[in-house]
Amino acid sequence: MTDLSNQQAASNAALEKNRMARQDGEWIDRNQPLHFVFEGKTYSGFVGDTISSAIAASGNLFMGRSFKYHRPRGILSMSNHDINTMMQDDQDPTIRADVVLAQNGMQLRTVNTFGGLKSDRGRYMNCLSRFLPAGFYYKTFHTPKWLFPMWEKMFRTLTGLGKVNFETPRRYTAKRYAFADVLVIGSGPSGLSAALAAAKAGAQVVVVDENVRPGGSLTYDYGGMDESPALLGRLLSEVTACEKIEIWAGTLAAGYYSDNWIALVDDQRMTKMRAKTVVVASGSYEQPCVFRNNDLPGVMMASAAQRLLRRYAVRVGRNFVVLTSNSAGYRAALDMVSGGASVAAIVDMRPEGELSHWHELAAGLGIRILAGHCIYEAIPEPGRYGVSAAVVKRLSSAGEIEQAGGVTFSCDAILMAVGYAPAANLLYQAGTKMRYSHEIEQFVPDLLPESIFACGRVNGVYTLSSRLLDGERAGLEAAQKAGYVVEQKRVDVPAEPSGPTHPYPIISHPKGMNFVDFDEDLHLRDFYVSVQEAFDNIELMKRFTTVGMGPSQGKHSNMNAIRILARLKGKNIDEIGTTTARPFFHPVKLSHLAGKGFTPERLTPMHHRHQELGAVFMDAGNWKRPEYYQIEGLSRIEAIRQEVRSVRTNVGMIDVGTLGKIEIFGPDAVLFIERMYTGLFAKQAVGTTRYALGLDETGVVIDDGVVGRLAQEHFFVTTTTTGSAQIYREMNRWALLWKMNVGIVNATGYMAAMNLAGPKSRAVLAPHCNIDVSDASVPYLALRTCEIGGVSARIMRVGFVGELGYEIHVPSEKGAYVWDLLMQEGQKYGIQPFGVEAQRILRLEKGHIIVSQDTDGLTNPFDAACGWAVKMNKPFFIGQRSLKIAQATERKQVLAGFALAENYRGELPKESHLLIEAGDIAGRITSITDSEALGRVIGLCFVRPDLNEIGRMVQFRLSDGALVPAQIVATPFYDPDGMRQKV
Amino acid sequence: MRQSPIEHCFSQLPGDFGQVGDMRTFLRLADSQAESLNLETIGLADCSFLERTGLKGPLAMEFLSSLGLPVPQRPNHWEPLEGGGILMRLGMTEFFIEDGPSGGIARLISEKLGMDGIEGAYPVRRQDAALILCGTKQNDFLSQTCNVNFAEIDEKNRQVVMTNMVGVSVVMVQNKINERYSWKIWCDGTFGHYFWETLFGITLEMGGGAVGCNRLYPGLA
Repeated sequence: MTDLSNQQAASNAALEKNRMARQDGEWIDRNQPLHFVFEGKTYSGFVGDTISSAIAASGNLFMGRSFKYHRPRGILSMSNHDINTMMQDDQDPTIRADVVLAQNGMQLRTVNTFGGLKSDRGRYMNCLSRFLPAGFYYKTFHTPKWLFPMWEKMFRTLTGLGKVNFETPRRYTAKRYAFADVLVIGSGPSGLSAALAAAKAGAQVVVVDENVRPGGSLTYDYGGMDESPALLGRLLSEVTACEKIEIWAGTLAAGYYSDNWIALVDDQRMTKMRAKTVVVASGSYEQPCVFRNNDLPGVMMASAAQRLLRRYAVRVGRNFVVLTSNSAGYRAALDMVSGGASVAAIVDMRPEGELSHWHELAAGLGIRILAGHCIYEAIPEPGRYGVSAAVVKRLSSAGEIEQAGGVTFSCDAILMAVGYAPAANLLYQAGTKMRYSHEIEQFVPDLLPESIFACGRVNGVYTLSSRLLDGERAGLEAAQKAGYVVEQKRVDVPAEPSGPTHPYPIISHPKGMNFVDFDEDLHLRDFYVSVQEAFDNIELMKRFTTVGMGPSQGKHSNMNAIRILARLKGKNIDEIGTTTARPFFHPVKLSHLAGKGFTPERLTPMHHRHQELGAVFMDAGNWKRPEYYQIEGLSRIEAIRQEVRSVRTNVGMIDVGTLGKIEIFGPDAVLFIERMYTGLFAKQAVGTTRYALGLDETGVVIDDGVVGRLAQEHFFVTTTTTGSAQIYREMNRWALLWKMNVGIVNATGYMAAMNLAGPKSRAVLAPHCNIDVSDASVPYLALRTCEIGGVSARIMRVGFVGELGYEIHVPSEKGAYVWDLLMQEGQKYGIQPFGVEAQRILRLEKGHIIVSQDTDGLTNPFDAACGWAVKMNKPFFIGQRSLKIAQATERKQVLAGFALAENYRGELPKESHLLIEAGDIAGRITSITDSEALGRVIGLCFVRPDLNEIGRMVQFRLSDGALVPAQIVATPFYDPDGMRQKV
Repeated sequence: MRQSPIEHCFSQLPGDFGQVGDMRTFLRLADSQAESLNLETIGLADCSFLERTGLKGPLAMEFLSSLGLPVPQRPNHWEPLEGGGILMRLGMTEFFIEDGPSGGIARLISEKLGMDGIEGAYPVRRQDAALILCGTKQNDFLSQTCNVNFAEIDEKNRQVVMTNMVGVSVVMVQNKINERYSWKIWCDGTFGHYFWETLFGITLEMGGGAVGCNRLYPGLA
């Protein structure tokens, strides 16, 4: 910054040589000067300047290098599409200098150079350009294969724009939602007119515009007169006085989604706008003319020079040549003259030239006008950093160049005003059917979706007075569609007298370098090559040439590419069509898209108790569950084994509050459960539980749990942790479809649950329970309601882990209290909390499956060895019909138990390791553990049915290819008669 | 004995807890000036201590009427109860009742329904995290967290909003609490920790923060 300060004084005058005197309507604040560094040189500007305008004010138009050939480039549009002047400021690698405001102290450098802007070592690529046509890399680097890594490295070095700074801190960018009756996109004359009309009809209107100030073309397209600023002043004062209109400047409508959901992006955030109706008044993109050296710094859109002149008081040249095919070119010439420059010539590509009063005005200023001519090539100044002249040639009546003759005009800037492409990206995304209008040589809306309206240039209306009328029409229609009563006032919009767009602004040149796509460095010849190679429809051509795939997404190249392809194929533009416009149609910062992380997570009421006990948590769906509890001095696996040991020999407690819990009430409750699950429940006694297996309609296992009967018409059902929401939704859906008289209540969130398990669990529970919990009173699979420590509770004698156990359900708000009570009592017996990992081992020793671990998206109950839980003789259950078909079909796999040799000490196979039989895949492991209780490694695997014989030897293949022998064994592995859980 | 689903969220906040009914509740911030500022700009309070219950079923409405309670005639609307409570109708046949600090209706309904419910009316044991959002920046706050157009909701219509806020299903009503227009927000208590932490973070960014329950229900403890 010190260097910066020292240089400020010297720089001001010298670096502002293209800055004009103060003028009305300018966007800069001359009372607030600023200074920044670009490529090691200090530049001055004012608050309100963009980076490009401040640099251009110094007289420097050379601001970047092209992507492929590293050619000098400069300003093109000044409307957020100048890809060749992208810059980096430390952490921000993609600054669009044409629109990003300059700030004091910026340290900018251009992207895509090696060794700085002027001495870029990549500039020699330009000399090799004839060897690097579009698509050359598809044919060049595939052999020899061993060289490919070198090529890849080279290309990764050469390509890319800015460099990502990995030290960039994360920005938590808030998103917000917003609503409007009418959203108007674009604040040009038609947009403002639409907003006023809609607001007068009573609608709440939001107008968005990507520019920092509203007004659109009224802020720069003056034609040397005061009509535009005066009109803008009138419109804005009306808008400001209207309470129903909000203007959001600096806000880009970047994407359209269903039901008028529009992503609005500003500097700080993304706003999700939901509008009842949308008026698209997004205007158009001025299009370049293709001629040799049309990419030199100093060759730019006419509107770019006008923007610089009117908004930033920067005159980009002293002597212009204006190439045009419409009145806008004449207006631009008049603007340049009013800014103190001279115009050497207006080169009009139309044979008849301009027929309106703009011609007289230009001619009256002594500007030479050449109708039926074009610029054949731009002559660079020495060093190629600017323009020195334009070579102009006559066009024949057929639009061909007449090679003979020609005039050369000295100039330091060339302005292109040969037409427009509609900014219709949002219209396409909304589903608008567009058609090509040959009258105005532009795509226009043919059939708009309901609640979407278009006006102004995007609608093919260019005359200023007509744009105002078109806006009024669209605004009234939008308000009416939004539900406001509009006095039926018909607004007639006159037909456009002529189109501003040239049908083929493309001039071939034997030496090429006539650029169609400035992002990707594609010149006309590349398109010939594409068609020659048979990539001759627009989507294929896009992929072959990469036209439109650069950061500006084809806003200046797609239309010309379509015109070239149409001509080469001898087709109409309509027949060629357009490429697909997907949201976002303009780049959006990743920080805006990421926004704040709204990723809900669920905690059980005992979560903080687990934290205090040293739990290491894992994700289970959106729940946090203790995986295991850390014990000082023990490794993870040792801690888990100790938890298992505690349950097998003593007592442990696990938080199972994450299980789905659903209550089903009503006269049809039992019939409903009969249909939902595969088992028999009709005769289930009150106070008992039964295993419940749930299938989908294809017979695939989707969930399992327990059904407990609390009363004749009241059931309590548990589901898996991750299945609860789906099962609850499915239950409600089926209840509606079956028209059953049931009440279904999701109790997952309001019931805490814990499983007290182990030989001493009864001793822990008994002192605090108000009922007798002996086996005689609460036998295996019983369900009881009771109080524990005064808290109403439900206890179920279930045996998932294979020991005496009580699954206890209490109201959530009292879960921690009951947990504490039992843990305290359990201290007498050495109770240990256990986590999910220990539970997985315990259940595997019992041979119990976990749905979605030991089953997959194709597993039916017979495959999963759960046929015992399926009562096919019931009248109906979901999936029954599919199972009948499955029963008659040969099975491809079945779940079986396996064990490794007792003395096996090698590397353990893992879940998903394959079972190999005679060199073929014949199954895979679904669960595996080293069981301390059994003294060997056990597991479950899917196996081909012919291999599922107890005692048969099979082999599992490890990741390194080694084979591990195993034996198919019966399950349960542990306590096969289940005596330990029935005590 | 009851524990708020978000009690632990207050463990780092300097302030006072107190026993309200049978729940330990955050009553006030130590810095009363900061708390006043939060109350004015954007404040968030935990009022899970209030008793609540729910019921659903085809005869739930008749059951509530038989108790002499003012039952909302339109789905997704609410009616006030004596003692500052609220009776919400969620959809067609589900109801959610929350008492005010001095009410006892929720408990009465729970007792009458019992564990198994009665014919056509089944208990829903609400154990929600219950939050109050107050302050002048409520609308800005809501626009960041929820995709409902709150500008269209008139407090006088007593609408119940059932929507999704920061990814969590919530029930919301706008109500006057201690003379302040506020939003009461309920969510499944198991989401409570995430829900509070997320919303609280946003209040801090907006220049607000936590508010103790005493500011909204003076004289609690």
